[in-house]
Amino acid sequence: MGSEIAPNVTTTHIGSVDPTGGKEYFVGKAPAACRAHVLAATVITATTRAKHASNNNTFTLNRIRAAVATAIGSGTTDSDVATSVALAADTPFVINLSSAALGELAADDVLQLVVTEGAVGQDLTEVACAIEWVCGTGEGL
Amino acid sequence: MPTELNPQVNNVHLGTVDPTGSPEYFVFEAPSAAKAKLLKVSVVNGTARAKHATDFNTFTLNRIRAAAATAIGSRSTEDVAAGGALEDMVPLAITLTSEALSELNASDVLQMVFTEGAADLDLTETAVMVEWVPGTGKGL
Repeated sequence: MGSEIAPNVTTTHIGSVDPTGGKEYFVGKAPAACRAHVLAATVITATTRAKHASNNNTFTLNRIRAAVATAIGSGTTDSDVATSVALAADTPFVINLSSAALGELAADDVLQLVVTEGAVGQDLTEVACAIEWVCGTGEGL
Repeated sequence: MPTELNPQVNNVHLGTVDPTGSPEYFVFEAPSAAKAKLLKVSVVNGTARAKHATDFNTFTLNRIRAAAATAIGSRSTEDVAAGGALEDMVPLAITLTSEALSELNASDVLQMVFTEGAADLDLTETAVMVEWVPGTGKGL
């Protein structure tokens, strides 16, 4: 776990999202000067979406390192998934980070949010993504 | 050189950019309470663009102070020595002109201008990431 002293928050406004085909957005970057530790990631929208087996959205957080994408977290409203949570309007929706290790970014790593849908028409409005992070890894690295 | 302890990252999502007519985007403002020092500015997008003599994009970073724009950095995919290919999902660093011009006054604004060497060199999923620290490292 990284230090939580002086956490930073990087918020990216995305706007309306039609997830058809899976939409990708760059939402953060580790500084060139140091490693970074992701503490939390959330999506905020003006759309309410109940848990549902097909009418759902999934948010995947990827780490891009040397042009290679690795999933480091996800959240979904798919009721077939045990960890699913309903999406409430104007309320941060937590993206579950896969592990503390994957939350540790190397200098110049980029974060990408991928938005998908289970069935067509699961558009979202006023979407923003907030990344909470600190410099370093808390391990003296 | 300023301290690089606790650098900040400001990310602005622009989405698809059609450089026709050289669109301008505001991507950062220095705090009103302090000067700010730029460490690095990058453009990330979902389109690969090889270096080319005509089919290239140019990114110009302007500092806006008292409504006057001053170029403080640029980068291009033009096939020249200072050019650089744009890779899908890989940050392309803007070359900052000088240490002095990287020091912002309180409330200075940064503006990114996109241009193209030939028509139809659109960019997708574009984001601009500004790395900075408060102060100048000189006690100012």
